[in-house]
Amino acid sequence: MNWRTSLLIAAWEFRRRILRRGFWLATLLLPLLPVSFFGLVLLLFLISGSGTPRSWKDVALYDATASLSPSWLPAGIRFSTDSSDWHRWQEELRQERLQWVVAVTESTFQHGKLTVYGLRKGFPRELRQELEQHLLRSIALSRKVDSLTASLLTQGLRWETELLESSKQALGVGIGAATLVVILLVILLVTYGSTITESILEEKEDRIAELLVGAARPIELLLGKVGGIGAVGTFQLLCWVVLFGALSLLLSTPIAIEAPRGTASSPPAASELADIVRFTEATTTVLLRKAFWLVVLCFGMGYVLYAGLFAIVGAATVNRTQAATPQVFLVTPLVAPAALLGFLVEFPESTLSRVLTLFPLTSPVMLPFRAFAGELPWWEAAGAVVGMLVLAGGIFWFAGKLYRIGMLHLSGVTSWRALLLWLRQLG
Amino acid sequence: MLEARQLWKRYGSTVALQDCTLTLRPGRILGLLGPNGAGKTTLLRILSGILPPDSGAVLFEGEPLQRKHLQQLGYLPEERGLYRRLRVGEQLLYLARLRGLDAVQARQAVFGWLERLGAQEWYRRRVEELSKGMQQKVQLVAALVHHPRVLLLDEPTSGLDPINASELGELLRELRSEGRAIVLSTHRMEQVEEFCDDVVLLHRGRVLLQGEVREIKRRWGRDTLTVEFSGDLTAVLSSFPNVRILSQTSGRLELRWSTPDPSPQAFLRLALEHAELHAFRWSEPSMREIFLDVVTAHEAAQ
Repeated sequence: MNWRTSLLIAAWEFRRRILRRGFWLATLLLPLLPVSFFGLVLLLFLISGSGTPRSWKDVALYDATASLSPSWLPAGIRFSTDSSDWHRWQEELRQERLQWVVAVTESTFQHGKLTVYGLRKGFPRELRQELEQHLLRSIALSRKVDSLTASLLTQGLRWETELLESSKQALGVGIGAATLVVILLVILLVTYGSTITESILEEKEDRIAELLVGAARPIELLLGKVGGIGAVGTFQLLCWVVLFGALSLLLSTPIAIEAPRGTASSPPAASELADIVRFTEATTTVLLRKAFWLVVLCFGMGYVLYAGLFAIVGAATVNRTQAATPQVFLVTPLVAPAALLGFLVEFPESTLSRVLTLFPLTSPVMLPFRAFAGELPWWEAAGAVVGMLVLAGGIFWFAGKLYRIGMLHLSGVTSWRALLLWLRQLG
Repeated sequence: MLEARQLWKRYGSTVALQDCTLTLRPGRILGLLGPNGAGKTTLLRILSGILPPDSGAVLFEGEPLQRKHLQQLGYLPEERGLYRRLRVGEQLLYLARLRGLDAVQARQAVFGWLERLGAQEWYRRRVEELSKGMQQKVQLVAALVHHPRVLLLDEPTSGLDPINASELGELLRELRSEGRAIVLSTHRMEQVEEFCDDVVLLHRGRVLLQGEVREIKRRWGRDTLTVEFSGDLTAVLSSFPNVRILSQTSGRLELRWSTPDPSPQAFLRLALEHAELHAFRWSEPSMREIFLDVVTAHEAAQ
């Protein structure tokens, strides 16, 4: 076994693939799929209208000064001067049973500062104007000043928003990240796994296999091929990370500028856009900061496992038509978690979810999914990793042997008899 | 230089090689002769280290064939192939690197061989843009690019037009004069006579005959009568039932006497009456005749 030869082959496979126009087109265009998905969601949001509160029942007013008169406040608004209500409302905010809590403090009376607590920026303009009028009137009354004079003196209140993170949002970001990871891994594993098959078939169809086997051992060729194509996949993953990072930066910039003053002038839909952008931003951040190495690790292990399987298909067949059916079978365990995503998101710790995590062929996709969509016990993670490594080792050993035989065969395993002959040669 | 000792190879119940032994010497061309399915390709694959024998050994300069020796072997497989969509230069450089050359050596070797074969302008062309003959030249460069001391060529002239075949013949003679050892596998007997110093006759995986071409022909003796003529000798031939026609073309016959009577002199007298004779001589048998003799005798013995 000569590692230098395998490295040479890997470098050559890598170079010839990334120099293709198709590689860069796919790298640039594939991320457009999830981006267009998010765009569609955004469009639906905009069409279906704002989810922002239109009535006062989603707003609560906490008066820390205990000096306001509730009779002058808008009808329906929840009002309290009790600090226990303040804590309860904060919890309700996190659970999204309440959308805004407006806090009146001494600072309101001294500097005209009003703090709004919510899950997002963009307290509706019409509610703000109405509440401001009520508050000014109430303040004026509490200080024995008529409302007109009070309005002229304060020249409006200064609104500041404090954002809270809801438990649903945190979970949503996790599930969003997990879903993205599942889609990304399935795409990568299927793409690069089938590239192994294609590459072996190319050598058979172009009849160059014998020339190559004369220069390097089959196992060196196979390792080089798997290494080179895997490096292309990792490189593409890195390209996407850079692209996502750049996209995230681009999207976050206008929000940061708009946020402090935009609450008054932004139309209601803008806050929805901000929500979606924040969600995408948060998901990307989770992916980049927390999941990147996990995704790379799972891609690496899954790739080795599936590369061996796809190599077996390439070695045992002679053309794309013959290879199509076994490839469909190979892809099934990868696609299954994606197909069951709805159920798995709902019940991330169900028995099915655990079984799929521990089953080596679905582990590469399920492991990161579980890590983000819910709790992943260490023993399940360890079991999945061990299972993948053991199976990958076995498959690779078998693939190496089959590849040695398959390289020189001009007819594939087309019958049970042919399969028996091949197996006899393996021994 | 390269030696095969008692090689055996089976594919399932089919015996591809039986007790096959041969020796390849530097500065000589060995013709591996046999019909399709004789085991020539299997033997070449074993000699080039692609296939392991079931039993027996391949020795390179007295040592069992190992990985380090593969750099000294150049192999042109029967199944011609190159990456069709890649450029000629790109894949020749890759194959040269696989054969152990560094980047600079590989570039020099590729350019050197392409120039030697008058194919330097193909460097940037894709293989699929080349004709079959051109592709074959590129494949030959792939086999030669690392300057191997032993060259194993499986049916190198198949698909070549006469001009390219003649160029290949010239190249083989040059390579031989440089001291390289060459195995030329073919089922075309005349090529063995044209290019080879030594010959191995292979039939159903078994070596039936081997040695120097001249020596073998000498051993067979001058038993073939060549007659060149103008006219018609059909009537004459019908009078000689003991004569076997080895080959017959317009104005040329190769004949062999299975019994002394009626004699060649009688044939000559009668032929002069029926046609104008330009040549009437005894010659050595062709490799084709020798091959047929050997195979027939072997089959009869079995």
